[in-house]
Amino acid sequence: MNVYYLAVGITFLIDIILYSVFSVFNKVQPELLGLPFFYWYQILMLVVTTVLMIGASTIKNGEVKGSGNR
Amino acid sequence: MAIGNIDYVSLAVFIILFAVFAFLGFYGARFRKGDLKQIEEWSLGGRRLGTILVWFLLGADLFTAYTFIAVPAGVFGSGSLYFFAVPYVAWGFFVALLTMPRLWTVSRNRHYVTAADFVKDRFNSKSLAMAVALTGIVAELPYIALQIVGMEAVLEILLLGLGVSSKVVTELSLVLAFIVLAAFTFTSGLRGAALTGIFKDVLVWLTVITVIIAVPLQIGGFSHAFTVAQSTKKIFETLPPSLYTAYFSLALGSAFALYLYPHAINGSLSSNDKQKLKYSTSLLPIYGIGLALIALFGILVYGVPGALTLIKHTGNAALAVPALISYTMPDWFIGIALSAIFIGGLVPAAIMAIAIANLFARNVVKEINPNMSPRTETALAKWMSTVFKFLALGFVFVVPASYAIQLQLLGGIIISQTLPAVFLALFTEKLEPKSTLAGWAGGIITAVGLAYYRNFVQLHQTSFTTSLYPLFGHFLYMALIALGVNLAITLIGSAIAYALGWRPKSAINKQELEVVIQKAS
Repeated sequence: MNVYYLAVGITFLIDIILYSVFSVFNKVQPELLGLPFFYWYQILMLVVTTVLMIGASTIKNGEVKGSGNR
Repeated sequence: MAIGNIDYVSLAVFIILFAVFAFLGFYGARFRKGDLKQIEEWSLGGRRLGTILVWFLLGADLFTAYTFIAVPAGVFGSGSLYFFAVPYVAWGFFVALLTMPRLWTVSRNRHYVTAADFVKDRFNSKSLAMAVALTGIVAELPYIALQIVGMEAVLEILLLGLGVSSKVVTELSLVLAFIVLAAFTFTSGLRGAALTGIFKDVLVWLTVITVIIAVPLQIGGFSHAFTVAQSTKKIFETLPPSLYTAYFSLALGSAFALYLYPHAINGSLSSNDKQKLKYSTSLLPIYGIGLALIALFGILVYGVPGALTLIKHTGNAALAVPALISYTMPDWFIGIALSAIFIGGLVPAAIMAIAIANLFARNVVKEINPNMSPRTETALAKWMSTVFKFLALGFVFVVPASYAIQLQLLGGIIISQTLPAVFLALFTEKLEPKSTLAGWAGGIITAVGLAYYRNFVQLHQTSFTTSLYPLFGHFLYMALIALGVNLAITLIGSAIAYALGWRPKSAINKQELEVVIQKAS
């Protein structure tokens, strides 16, 4: 298995966990500008998602570089 | 009846912006010029779009009337549950990072234009490829219809605000807009959609950022809107724990479906470079922030009494966002915002029509008539993209708007059933074609059966209202249940076939999925 897919797989898993810990973010407090935590936490996680995805995307040596048989 | 601050200034701004949109659409034909008689040039922009352009294109393509109309309407009616759209987009792009670079690479190497092209060679199976193509077409048509429902909501508000309460005027305006759209799609192909996509993105971001700042300032903050909403029903501030599995499974199931839709694949294949495609995809969750903010409009409406009365009066939650804007913003800005939503539906509709026209011409007609020349194929795809658009338009005129939204929900469940044939096959050649076809059929039957049973038999509904099914006391998105059945049949069937001596006969070698092979010239 090459490094790129491993990196995407792991970051995906992290992201799934970040959005599944309802006991952590399914709350009203702390509010941000009157917005319940449930909402702004998930919006903030989109920024985290972007960072995770860009991080995984920079791994370029993941693919086999023409090392096939032909 | 006057609606908020709508007047002729709003209408003038709306018309001017539509004219700019039409100009860009036609100008697209000259943009990065190519021979538009070739299908790769017309439908994929010659595979020459870079990081930023693909980002704009995919952003314009994936954030549709579903985002501007259906999600806020859902939040307005069903509360926090509909915020599942946020993890959905986040995860959808991870699925894309896993699958699209491989599909892009093999498509570049073997000149594929659709996912069904890949399925045909990978499985050496015409019937499976045709099943994937037809599923794409059937699932996409109501998605186009949903775009039209969104545009209709905009026109309805605009015309009502000007004192014109006529369905004929609304429908005529829609037909006119579609003639313009069809004409430039025909001449410019995906290039037209890419240029108008940038224009759409600018208008959408301008609208979202302005409204999300201006409205809370006007109505006394988010807390006021939340207090009013929560007093009607306790579903707005947080998610009821009984809906955790529903929230999770809706997000995950929709994320799997997103990049199986023909328009998403079409947009991804237009990239000129695999690495650039990865970067454009990675930046798309930023666009998801826009979606999240628009979803919140569905709650802000509760703080604007005029808009709230209008929605209750018309009984149409699809009006939530247009109504909110019309009651809070100045007349000229209403023109900008309404055109953002209107064009926000038109651009994806164009790309969706291009994508399913390709499927129809290449994977259905060409399979039946293999002697078709490439020129005829492109011409057929161009004409079919027009036919599909007007088919969807006719559909919206004939049946109630709510049907389009329900069929789009059902479409999402159905398109998920192509996951093994498209996504899994990118990573393994060990899926046996007949088992995969049987899995697909089993998945579709389960999906439609569950939807029918839950809505009409158990809940005695008169229409399709829920895509959740209670399994062992937990609400689950039907797409995931059907996908489970599908995968079980596909995997067990393949294992049995393998034991009986079946061996993979993929026409694609591993290298073709991983690196762009430079042809000796």
